[in-house]
Amino acid sequence: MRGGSFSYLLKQGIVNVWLNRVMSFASVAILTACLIIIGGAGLLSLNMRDIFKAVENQNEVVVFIEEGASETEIETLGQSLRNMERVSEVVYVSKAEALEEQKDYMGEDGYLLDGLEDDNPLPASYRITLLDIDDMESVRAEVETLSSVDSVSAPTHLAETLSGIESTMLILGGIIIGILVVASIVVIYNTIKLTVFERRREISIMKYVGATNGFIRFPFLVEGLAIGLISAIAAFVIIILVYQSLANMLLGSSVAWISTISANLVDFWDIWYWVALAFAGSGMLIGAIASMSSMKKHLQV
Amino acid sequence: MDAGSNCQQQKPGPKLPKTEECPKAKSARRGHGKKRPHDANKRESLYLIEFKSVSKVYENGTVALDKVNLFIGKGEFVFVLGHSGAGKSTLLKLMLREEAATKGRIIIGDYNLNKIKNRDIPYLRRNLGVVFQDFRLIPTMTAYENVAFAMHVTNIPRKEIRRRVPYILHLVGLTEKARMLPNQLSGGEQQRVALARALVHNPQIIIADEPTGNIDPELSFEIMELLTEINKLGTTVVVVTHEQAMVASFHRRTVMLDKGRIIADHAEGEARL
Repeated sequence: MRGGSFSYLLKQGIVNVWLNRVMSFASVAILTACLIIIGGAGLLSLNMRDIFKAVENQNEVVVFIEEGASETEIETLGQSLRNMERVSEVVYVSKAEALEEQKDYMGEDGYLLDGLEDDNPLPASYRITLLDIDDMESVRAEVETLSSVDSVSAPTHLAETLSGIESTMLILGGIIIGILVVASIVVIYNTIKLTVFERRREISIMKYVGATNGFIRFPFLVEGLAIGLISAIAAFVIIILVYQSLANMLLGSSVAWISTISANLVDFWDIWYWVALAFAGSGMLIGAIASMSSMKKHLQV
Repeated sequence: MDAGSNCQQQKPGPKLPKTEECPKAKSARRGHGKKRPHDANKRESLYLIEFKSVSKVYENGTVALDKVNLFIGKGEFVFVLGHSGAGKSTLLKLMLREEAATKGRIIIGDYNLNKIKNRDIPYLRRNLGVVFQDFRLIPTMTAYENVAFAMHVTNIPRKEIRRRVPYILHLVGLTEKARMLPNQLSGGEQQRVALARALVHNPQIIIADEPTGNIDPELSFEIMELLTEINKLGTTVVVVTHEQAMVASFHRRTVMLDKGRIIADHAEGEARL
């Protein structure tokens, strides 16, 4: 295809969008909504992953060792913990280290613990990290049966809640996205159908003067792609605004758990090109699928 | 008339001189987009259009054409005469490969329509210039643009379009009206624009479907004269019509269709009707 024809066909496609602007607007609106939800779900799950990691790291299973256990007993316990299959890491924290850590955690108020070194009330412990957070409950039960164990602290409830939220959101998001994708395709399909109808005279003339099928169809493909691209741009702008204002809201909050979340938020400007690429890609793909199926049905050449 | 007379024999012999072509038209044919290779279909024939025992039965059982045999040579001028429903439109649709024949063999120029691939159909149609009763011009385009459109959509370079369109408009006598929109033109003038458009690819065959159906009788004659002129330049012309009076006044080869069959095929100049 010559360059001149290519730009001509491109222009025809854009003209098609304008020719049918009411339907084009409807197509762009629904596809934009669809992309925003896809993007929102993606960003949410990305952030959830980071927050999960933070939560998991902060809340390892802590195995407190019985007061008065001998060094060999402690060593034996450590060995049996290391031998457990679902455990990835075992770190020993002595009484002194526990106190030091507590002091650090208290920051400026750490001096309050000064003088406790000789009569340290904090127990020694093993901190174990699991391969899979879902195993937490069973590992906890197993560890509790070992000797020299005083108690086991495991944030099982939090872990369960978080992974529950994640899978529910995945399913729900998937269903909503599925419905919106289908709706977008149907609306764009009808938009293209209308344009074909509007241009039927030109199409029939093009047929009779011997324009190739590709030539006749190309503008309608461009129309679908253009609707996809416009929607992608709209969705991108909207998602930047929403994400940034949400992030600002969370950052401004003084509630403790919210600040844990906001501290772990993904910076949009670190990933903007992925978001842009995903939007442009999925928008244009949906547009192309819709216009090709519409042409297959309504543009017999 | 004389200039084209040797082209109008029913069965031109092999020694038939090459049909005449206006030198300008010839030069314009060069570079009309790439030609599809269709060597598989390439054949030497005396006829440009061959219908051999062609039948067309539509899905609802209507028999539109029934074992039609029709041979049209290069440079001929043929009327296809028949009432509505006689099978004229079907004949056209088969030639343009809008429909496939149910039975029989159809050959148009270098193309065997029984074997033609879908992607070759556009190239077949560039060999067939079509003119319709309702002109089928694009109302928002000027006469010039309507003609240029046909070249645009077949991938012809702008330079070539700028050279060719004025020539074609001159050929149909519309140089003065090139900048006018279809609704500013008379029926006869609109049909001349349509004819110009049909001519841009320098087709071997012009097919006119009731070309004078929407035109005042006195202007009809002009259109028919124009078709005769085009025929003199070497183009085969097939005029499909139901107007017996017009056919009678031109003394050309006339094929009469009725109920899907050819009931008569009068050679040029033969007494008839």
